[in-house]
Amino acid sequence: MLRSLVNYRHLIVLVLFTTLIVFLLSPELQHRPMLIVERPASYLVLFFQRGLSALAEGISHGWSNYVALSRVYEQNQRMETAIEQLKTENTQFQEAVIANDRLTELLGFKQRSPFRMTAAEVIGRDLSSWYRTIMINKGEQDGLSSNMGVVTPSGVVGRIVKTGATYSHVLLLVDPNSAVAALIQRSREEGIVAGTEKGLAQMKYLSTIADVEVGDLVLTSGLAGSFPKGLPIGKVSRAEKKETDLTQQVEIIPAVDFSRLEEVLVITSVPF
Amino acid sequence: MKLIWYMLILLLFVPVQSLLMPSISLNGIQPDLGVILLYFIGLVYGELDGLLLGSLIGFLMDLFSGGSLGANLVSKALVGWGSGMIGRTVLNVNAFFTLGSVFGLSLLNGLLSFLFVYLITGGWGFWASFRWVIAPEAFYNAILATVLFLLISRSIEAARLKSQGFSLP
Repeated sequence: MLRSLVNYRHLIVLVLFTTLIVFLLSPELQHRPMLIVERPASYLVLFFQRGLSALAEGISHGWSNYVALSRVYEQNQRMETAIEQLKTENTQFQEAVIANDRLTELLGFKQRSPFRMTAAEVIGRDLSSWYRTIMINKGEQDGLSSNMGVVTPSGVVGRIVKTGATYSHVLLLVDPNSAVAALIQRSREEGIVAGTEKGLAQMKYLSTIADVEVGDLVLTSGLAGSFPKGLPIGKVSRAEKKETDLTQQVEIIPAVDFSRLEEVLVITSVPF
Repeated sequence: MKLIWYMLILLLFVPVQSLLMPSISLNGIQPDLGVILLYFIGLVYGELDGLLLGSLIGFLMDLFSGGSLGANLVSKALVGWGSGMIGRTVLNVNAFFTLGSVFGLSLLNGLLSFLFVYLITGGWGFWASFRWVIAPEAFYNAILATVLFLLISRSIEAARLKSQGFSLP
């Protein structure tokens, strides 16, 4: 009996695996993917994620210190250890000043805004190339939930699509599945901003007679719940009208540099 | 010992893929460490290990990605299974073979992922996906895996022989 089971082990595993897939693909689990597994798995993996994130930051700082030290060494080999120490401290100080400026700007924006926001740190990016998302270090415990808008002082970042107890996934504006209600500041033409497969943004549903010019500023229109009116989304970089099309092809350069995101603000309540 | 390695891989996979891989991304395309790892694991330890570790890696990827459950679970499991079959049927594995195999496995992974993403969210068109994600990622994975193979080919061969009951002279 046991021997025959061993002989068929490949087949048994394949059948078990197929059953597992069918179980996991059920619509209910798509909404709340196996809480029993998700919670402990996320705590364990996030523990390592945070550790590695701190390590990577340390290495990055260490590397910049090393580069700075190498340059000093090349310029003046006889420089005293004390001066090298001062240079290192200076590098660290400059890093702290830059971080301070960034956080002050974030705090200023938060205080000026008429809506409530929660600051969060970016702790990771999407594991695959199929979704353009970031992971932030705040979740349900901090009052965050799906569909909340995420911004920086420069403009719109995206919206939360998935939350855990201590983390959330933010779908970036440049993902093809994202959709933000927007308007052209100059002409007040309205449309929807979504991402493209190339990782850029486009404004959809603008008719061929809509008044759009290169350089026009695109803002949130406030029509769909996640974002209040008037937040910058980007600038029009290309507007193309084809005789056969019903709508224009409008490409946008986002106001936010998504490759350099470190801290973001989550809009927890939007005034109407 | 193997179990401890697998546990370590599972614990470190998500942090490494989400923190280190974006820093070597080219034009928004990052290598898929899952495919590369599963190729080597399947090659050395066979289909069963490839399938099981593939489904666990895929499950973690789905759990910690912005998308829905399923895409990586299925594609990674099949990549692991495929790598195991390659390892069992091919005698001499060299750098060119690795280049071709990982490219093929990455294409399989990409096409299955596309199918799931298209069925569940629908935001992607096929040709655009192939041009901007599937093909570049397959190239990137294949090149990275080949470089890795050149660095550890002797250890891989020794581990393959050991797992099949032989030992290097």
